[in-house]
Amino acid sequence: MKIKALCIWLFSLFLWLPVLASEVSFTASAPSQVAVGERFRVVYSANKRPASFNGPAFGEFRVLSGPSQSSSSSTQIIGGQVTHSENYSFTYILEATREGSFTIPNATITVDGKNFSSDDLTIRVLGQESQGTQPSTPAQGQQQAPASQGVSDRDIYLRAVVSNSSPFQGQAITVTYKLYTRVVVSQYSIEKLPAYQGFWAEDVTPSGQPQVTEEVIDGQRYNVATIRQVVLFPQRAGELSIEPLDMQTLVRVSAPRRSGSLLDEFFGGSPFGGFQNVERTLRSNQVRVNVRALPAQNRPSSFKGMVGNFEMSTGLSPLEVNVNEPVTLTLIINGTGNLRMLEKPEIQFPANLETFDPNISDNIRTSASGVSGSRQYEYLLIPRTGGTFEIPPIQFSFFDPAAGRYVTRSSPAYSLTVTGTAMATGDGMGVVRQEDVQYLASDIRFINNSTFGLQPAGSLFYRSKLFWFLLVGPILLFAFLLVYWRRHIRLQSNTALLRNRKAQKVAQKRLKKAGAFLNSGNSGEFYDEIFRALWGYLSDKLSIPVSRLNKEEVSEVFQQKGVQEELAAKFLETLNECEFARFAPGSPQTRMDETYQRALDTIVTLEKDLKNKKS
Amino acid sequence: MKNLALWLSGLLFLLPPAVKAAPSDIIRQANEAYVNGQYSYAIELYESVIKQGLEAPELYYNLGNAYFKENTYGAAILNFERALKLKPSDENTLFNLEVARARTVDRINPVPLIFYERWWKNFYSKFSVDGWSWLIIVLLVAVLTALGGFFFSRTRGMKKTAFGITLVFALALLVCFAAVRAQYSNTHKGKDAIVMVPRATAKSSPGEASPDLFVIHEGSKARITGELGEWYEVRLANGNVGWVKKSALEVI
Repeated sequence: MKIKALCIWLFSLFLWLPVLASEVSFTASAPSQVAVGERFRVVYSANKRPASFNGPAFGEFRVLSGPSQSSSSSTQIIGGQVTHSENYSFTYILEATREGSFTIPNATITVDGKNFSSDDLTIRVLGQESQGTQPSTPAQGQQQAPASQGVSDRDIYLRAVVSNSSPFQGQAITVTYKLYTRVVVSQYSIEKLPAYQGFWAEDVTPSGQPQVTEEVIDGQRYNVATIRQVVLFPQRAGELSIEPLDMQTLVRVSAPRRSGSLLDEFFGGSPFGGFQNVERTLRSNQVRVNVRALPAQNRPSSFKGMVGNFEMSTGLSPLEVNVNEPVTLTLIINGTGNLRMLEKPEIQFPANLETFDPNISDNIRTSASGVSGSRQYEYLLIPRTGGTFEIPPIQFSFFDPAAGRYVTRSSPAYSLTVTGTAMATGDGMGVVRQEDVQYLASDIRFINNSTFGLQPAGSLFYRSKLFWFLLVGPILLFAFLLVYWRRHIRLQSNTALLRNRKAQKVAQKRLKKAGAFLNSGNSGEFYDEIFRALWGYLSDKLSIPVSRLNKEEVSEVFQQKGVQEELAAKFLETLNECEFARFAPGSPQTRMDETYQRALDTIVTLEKDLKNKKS
Repeated sequence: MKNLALWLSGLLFLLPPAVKAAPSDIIRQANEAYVNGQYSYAIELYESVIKQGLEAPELYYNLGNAYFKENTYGAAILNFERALKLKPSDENTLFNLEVARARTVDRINPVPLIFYERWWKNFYSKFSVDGWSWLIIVLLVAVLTALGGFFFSRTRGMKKTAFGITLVFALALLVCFAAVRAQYSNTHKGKDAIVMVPRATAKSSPGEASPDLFVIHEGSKARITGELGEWYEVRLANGNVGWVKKSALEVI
């Protein structure tokens, strides 16, 4: 029973053999040790065509290229047996960036719907001192020796040198990258340029082959080549760092003698007699620069960030022109410093002087010692009206780092005399355009400098007691006046009526008195009383004040009232008589009687007459 | 002894200058300081006059100018507004207020007025409340005089003329009454305030913990619509409403 089972088991195993032979294999291969900066391959190979390939994350390694796919197949016939093999590979080229031991996780492929994964790879990255033993990609068709023994950091290194490690903001400094070498460098290339963050950089590397000088350091003779030179202008204050520059070099070293076969000895090395090219990655030192801020003290208002040493020259020509003729204002700033960052100077041109954007011409040289040269501004000015134009002095300020202070250059003030008037006669050229008054600056108007009255704060006339009083007072006064006037009128008319009614009675009373005087023979008093009786009656009856009474008035009033002429004449006659007799005393008794009777008569008839007229 | 007297008289000069001076003298000094560019000194002097309980549109105007020159735009706008309250159509004040407003951060677009509202506002803003009040008094006297002419004139033609004049004056008087009411409610009834701090946060309710609604900056004008404890409820010209700390605002 047991044997039977074993047999079945074995048989089934045999059945599976062909299947096992075609088992999918997926492997990864990579060098186990590399040096920092070295390039190496990682190859993933499979023996079946994968439907898909998933590469790993390489972490600390930089992927230079890949995955590149390749495939090969071979068929072998040995003794009638046909063996077919295929190979699919995915190749990455990586670069080690950091020292340490790193693991690359597995990659996966999919074959016939199944996933297969490779092993993890562990790679030790060594420092530059102990170069790895893995060969790099061959270059120049020469045999590439293992970057190895014989080339040390003492033999070849890169140094960054700064001309001034504590410059002012905006002050030019030069960074020189020098290659110190005791070995022969057959080739070099700059891999990575620093970003120069916080600086404005300008490359001033001399063109052509670098100049090689000799220097002795620690008793060792070095060849020194200036690889690169950059002028930097720090853009902000504080500690700024200049990142290192990466460089790839091929160093020729004598090939090591191998204790190997004669054949090796014979073919060993190269036709150049045992030399090998070794790849070396060089990195310059990081340089820290302490940028000093420009002093805030005494900073002129015209300062625009220029640092260096400059001169300014200006010119205006011609100084006398006709209207609409162009004038050129030239402004040249020359010196050493960040001239390319020079801002257009602010010039306060007077109004009515048409200006155009300046024509800028540069003559700026950049060298290892900094930037120097000149910049010229040419302003074209066209006066549009006659008169004298004053161009105020142009100010230009900069910071002199050598002296450590601000310097202001100032141009003279120019006075431009323009003759002629604005109106052109012929062509339409230069006719002055009517313009609104231009506001040159937005500022408030001047204070009120006159003397003005002050009032208690918060006092409001509206709704104050005085307001109500002044509002109501006149109305009350008006109403009072109105009432008073009305009453007055009514009263006045009443008295007139009364007097009218009583006129006859009053007259009769007076006449009675006159009668008494008549009897006593007092002629003066008599006539006086008659006179008064007549006048008084008339005054009361006609509502005319006694003071206004005279004969002309009376006759006029009689006419108006339509009194009989005869009666009027009689009345006036009696009056005349009285007047005459008053001033001529001693008239006879009979005459007095007659007068008395006549006056009485006149009044009675007049009373009747007026009453008739009224009714 | 003589030396002591000399010392004392010297000490007198050390006393602040504007202790006993008449307000008009202080203002003259302040104007001089302004002309000489000593704006902070000018502000001090103008403020000392205001502290005495006196005011004048010109005083507020000059003080606003001095604040403007000191770049204190909130205080400048406050004083220009105070000047306008007393003299609403003063051209220089209106101009300077416009310049000062242009320097502030907030650009609050007021809810636009309908054309007749605009006309009416322009009309009643021609005079201050007191200006309109005096006009009313004058017109009232004119109306009564014309009415008196109507009553006391004897001829028919005279009566007609007097009646016409009375009607015209009475109509003008009614318009003035309407204007004084409108101007009063515009400048005195509701309280307007100016933001005096660089930035003030308006909250949705009076309390530090409540959510922020919007931020207004120095020089902005807001109408106070309510108050509670340390807080004012304000309405901006664009219609936004929020609660702002009293300390951030100054009532015009």
